[in-house]
Amino acid sequence: MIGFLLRRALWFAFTLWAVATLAFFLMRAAPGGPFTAERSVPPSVELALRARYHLDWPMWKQYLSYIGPLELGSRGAFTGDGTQTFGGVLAGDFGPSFKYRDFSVNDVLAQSLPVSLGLGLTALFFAIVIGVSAGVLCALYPRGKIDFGVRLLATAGVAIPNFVLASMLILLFVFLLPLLPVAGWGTLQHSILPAAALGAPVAAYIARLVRAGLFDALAQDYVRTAIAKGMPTHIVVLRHALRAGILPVVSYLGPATAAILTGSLVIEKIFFIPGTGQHFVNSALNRDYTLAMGVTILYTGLVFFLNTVVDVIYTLLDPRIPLEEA
Amino acid sequence: MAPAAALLAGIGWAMAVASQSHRPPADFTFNNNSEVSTLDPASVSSVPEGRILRGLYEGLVIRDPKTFAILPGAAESWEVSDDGLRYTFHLRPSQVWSNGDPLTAEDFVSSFRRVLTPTTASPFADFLDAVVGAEDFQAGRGPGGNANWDSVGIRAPDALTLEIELGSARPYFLQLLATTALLPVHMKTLREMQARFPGSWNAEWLKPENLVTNGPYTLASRRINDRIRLERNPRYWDVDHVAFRTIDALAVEHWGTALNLYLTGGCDWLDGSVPPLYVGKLRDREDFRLGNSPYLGLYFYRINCTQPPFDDARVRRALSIAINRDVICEKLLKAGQEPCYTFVPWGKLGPYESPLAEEQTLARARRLLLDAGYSAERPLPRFTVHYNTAESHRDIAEYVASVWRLALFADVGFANQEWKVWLDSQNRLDYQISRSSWIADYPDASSFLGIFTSDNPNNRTGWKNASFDSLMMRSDRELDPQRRAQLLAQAERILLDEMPAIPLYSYVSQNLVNPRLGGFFSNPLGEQNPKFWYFKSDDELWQDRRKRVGAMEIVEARGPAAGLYSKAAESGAR
Amino acid sequence: MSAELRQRWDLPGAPMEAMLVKLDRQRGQSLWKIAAQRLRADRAARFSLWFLLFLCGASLIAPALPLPSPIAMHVDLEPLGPQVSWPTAGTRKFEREYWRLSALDEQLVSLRQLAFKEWQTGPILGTDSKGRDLLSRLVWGSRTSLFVALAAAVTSLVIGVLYGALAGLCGGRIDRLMMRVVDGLYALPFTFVVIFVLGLLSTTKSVAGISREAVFILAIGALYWLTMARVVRGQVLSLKQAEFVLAARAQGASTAWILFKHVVPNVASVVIVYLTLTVPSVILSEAFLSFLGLGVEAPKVSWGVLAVEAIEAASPLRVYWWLILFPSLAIAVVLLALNILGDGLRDALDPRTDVGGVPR
Repeated sequence: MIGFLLRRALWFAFTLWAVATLAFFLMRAAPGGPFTAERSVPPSVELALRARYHLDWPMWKQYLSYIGPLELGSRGAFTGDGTQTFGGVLAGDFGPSFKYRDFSVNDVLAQSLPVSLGLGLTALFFAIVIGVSAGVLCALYPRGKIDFGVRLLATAGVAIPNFVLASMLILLFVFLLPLLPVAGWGTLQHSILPAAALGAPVAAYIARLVRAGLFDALAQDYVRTAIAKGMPTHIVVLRHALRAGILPVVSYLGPATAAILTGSLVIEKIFFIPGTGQHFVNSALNRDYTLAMGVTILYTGLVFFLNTVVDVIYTLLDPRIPLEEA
Repeated sequence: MAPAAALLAGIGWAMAVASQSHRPPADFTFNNNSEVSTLDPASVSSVPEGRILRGLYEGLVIRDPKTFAILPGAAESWEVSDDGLRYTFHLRPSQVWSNGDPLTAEDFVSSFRRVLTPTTASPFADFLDAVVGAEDFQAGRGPGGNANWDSVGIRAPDALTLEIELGSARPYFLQLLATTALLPVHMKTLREMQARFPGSWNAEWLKPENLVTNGPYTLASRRINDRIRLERNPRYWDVDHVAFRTIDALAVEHWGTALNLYLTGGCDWLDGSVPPLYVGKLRDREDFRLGNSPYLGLYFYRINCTQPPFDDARVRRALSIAINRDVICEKLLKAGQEPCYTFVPWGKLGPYESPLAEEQTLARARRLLLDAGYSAERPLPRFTVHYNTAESHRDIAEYVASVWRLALFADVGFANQEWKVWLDSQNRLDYQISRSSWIADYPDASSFLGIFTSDNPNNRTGWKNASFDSLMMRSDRELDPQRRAQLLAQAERILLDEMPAIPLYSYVSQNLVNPRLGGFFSNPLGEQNPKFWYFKSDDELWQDRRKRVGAMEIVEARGPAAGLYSKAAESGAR
Repeated sequence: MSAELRQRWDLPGAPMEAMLVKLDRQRGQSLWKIAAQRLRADRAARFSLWFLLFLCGASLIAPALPLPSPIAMHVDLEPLGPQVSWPTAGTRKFEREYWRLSALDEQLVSLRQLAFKEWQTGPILGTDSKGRDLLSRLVWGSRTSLFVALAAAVTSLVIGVLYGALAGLCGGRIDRLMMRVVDGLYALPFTFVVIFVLGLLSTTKSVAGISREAVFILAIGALYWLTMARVVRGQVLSLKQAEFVLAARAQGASTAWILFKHVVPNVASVVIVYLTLTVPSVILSEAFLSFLGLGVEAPKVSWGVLAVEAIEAASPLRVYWWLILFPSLAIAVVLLALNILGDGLRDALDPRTDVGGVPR
């Protein structure tokens, strides 16, 4: 176990480095820069701005100074008004944001991450509760009307783009039945609609996984034995089959979290939620190099971490599977 | 069960963090359309930032929100010498910053100096170009090779007097002083933060806990992509006339979301373009104020004049003449946008009047094209129209292309580009025809025409014309308004004959605003000063409504105010 | 075999005998034939298959159908709701100029003119905010969406299968390394990649060469091959150790024969099922990118573009329900059909299932 975690940590470091490097150069290769604006600034001003953020340095030097707290000599060249210095990613400093000039990337992330986590966790909770119960319902009444209905709903949940679903929910629960606030963030009521819209496709997918997993488990010999012995179906399903049937859900949680993270960007926009999701696209579109790097590294780290956690949970639930194969 | 418990605990924690920042709604909430990029006046000037900055700071002079006439701000009076070269401002006595420090003329001197300092990288340093020695200081030139502040014509003889000396007269200099770029900043805080946070002072001095301002409001809190909360500044000299205790500026970018907020009472004012689909639904409502004033923004197509066939002015003119702007405005946009045939929207601005545009007939367009050597048998080579990703740009481009195709036998393609890519290809002249827009900095014709001078970085058409440049330069120095207008008109004549760009329409202000809001005027720059906002009393509101002509009645409609005034017959707003 | 005998052997609780019966029944049939037989027995899957084929056919021959132009705007009209209407003689011919039609499409347009003259359907599903016919836009949109989805799925298939099979066959250190690369790519944010690749390629110079669609297809294909590679590799790994493969090898079968006879059919089932899952995800990804304004280029339409237009139509001021319902329905129905087909295929191709497609 410790060896596994160690190896994973090594891969983690390597992946982060590779992703950061790739993103760094990819971004700078894209046309336009952070100071390209419809109202062009005079050339002298642009030079000064570039100097402030060290964009006038050769690429390798920018890269090194971004990665680590290396002393590169000329960093103190513009100590007058305006120079930005930052310690580099290795020192935990993602640098100043180019677009939100009054904030460092660390500030931006610190502001938005709790919001995104709150939204994401609520959506995940919603998805698991709804998804698992629906899946169990299907297994209890297989191939009946309930089964069919749940499968239809599940398909709809996966099929309808979440922004369409979100506007439907708004029309229903804000305007038709004035129950919930239309947009914004801060209270529990604010999080219900966005979490539902965000969690719906995940819930639908989980329901299908649970259903398939339970059907598989119900076909296993030990479950058949239990049924043959006269144990009530619902007890068999809940006590024996669910434990095995839930395994695919666990392995789906990694991708599910990723889906919720990226999906949140649309939901954040529609529900006006100040989370990290919007920065994802906006920073790339604004060529906010540092912020885009920050969210990319954050995302990569998060996904990698979650995948590892999922692998560990997987083996804990089903000791037959060795860690390396997972 | 443990993972479930952890999940629940996580939700609880995140909710707790989130609700910490939840505050009761402000007295007045409006949608600012996008996140402001910075609160440093020296760095920004676009409309959303302007609203916040005018609330936080007050310049020497301010603009009347309705007429744009210059009003006293931090300076209670001023004198201008007869030759227009020397301005003397007298500051109000006993004015203080929000932290209690006295506001002196020296504050303005150091703020202006900061704008001119090259490392500040202020895009608006050229607003002070006319000031004696300013250009040299900004370029780092001066006696002995060093920039020398003493030779710049901005001085504070005493704490309440500010003198500005110009090298050449600028008829619109007071208007420039009223822009957000020349607002005063509290240099003491800035220096302190520089000492305390050498790496990140740039951000620190603008944080709510550190920012010191002199305007009607102070900065209470700020969250990215959420809201900026302003709080009334009790130390402001005119605090008795500041109506709202708190103001929230939201940063909603999605129009549907903003509308939903407005309709549920979540915000009191929404500006921005209404999708054409809903203009008809809103038109009759009293809270929808549409196009009752020109907006100084021009929507146009830049033409890359460096490549054939567009290096031929006849081709460019033919392209322009063929387009029926009325169709774009009435059929596509529907919100009262004004068709433009000249480069100054509405063809009129103050004393300025645009020369007449060419006659718009298809026959003439074809004639011009034929002169240039193109016809149905020998059509124009295929070319591409660039636009940045947005539905309205796409629709207009499609319409324009169809006209060119049918009327001028042109084979037109499209390139839909993401914002920065589109800007970049425009900057590098890597396009043939490119959708563009321009919003004036100040209400003057030169703000529109000036972008086409040869060395202006906003030219981006590759078009150069020496006589146009010299006319623009002469108009800049001309003090007499009539003669100046003539010079500018001559310049625009050249522009119209050469057509380096195709003006299409001018923007229009579209506001959904709580009928109770007073001190709010749609104006040509979309500029608002939060100082003047207040809520009307029932009495005043009733008086206002009585003035409206036509059959109006109160209907049940969603919005910030219960019961809206609307046309009786066809209120589509139910 | 006599009926009497079969009855005796079909007794429940005698799996060995049952298997022998099955083997007997299926003697001389290839796995594919069995699969086709099973699929034919699965009514829902069969129906889905026909439906999807019909849809693909309709979108393929869209230029020949008597539909109004999907792009000609009638902006002075309010959006019309769906209405029963008879075909009318259109006032305008199909506008070739907007779309650069391929040679085949040109032929189809001529065919249409031959067959239907200038007759075209009325607004059966209503019109949108620009007065364009919704049915026509849905059909033309399906062209883009289905083509993109299929192309991306095939891209992911090719890369994924090659990569996964290679990793699985090599095994050991190489396998582990290749899988770690996949893990690493998994963590790469996909939106980010697509935005930048689109940005890089949408400069004028490359517009002519590589369209946004092609970039999109490649990007999505490059994203989805990851899962495909994992799946294939897992299958190959387990097959390598499977008893029947070991047995075949012990009997002296050549590697190629084993690969073709045992590995390919077994992997194929997983791959086909996974494909039916990839296509819907691609359709949704395209919608997602359309929401961000990075979808297909105007004036082309896709279901994603229609879905984005749907949210504009859902406003408390007025709900243009048909603009929301029909595009959503189109996406949902295709996804449902693909899912059912996928389930059916899985059952049909799974060597462990009984005839009839019901899992044991």
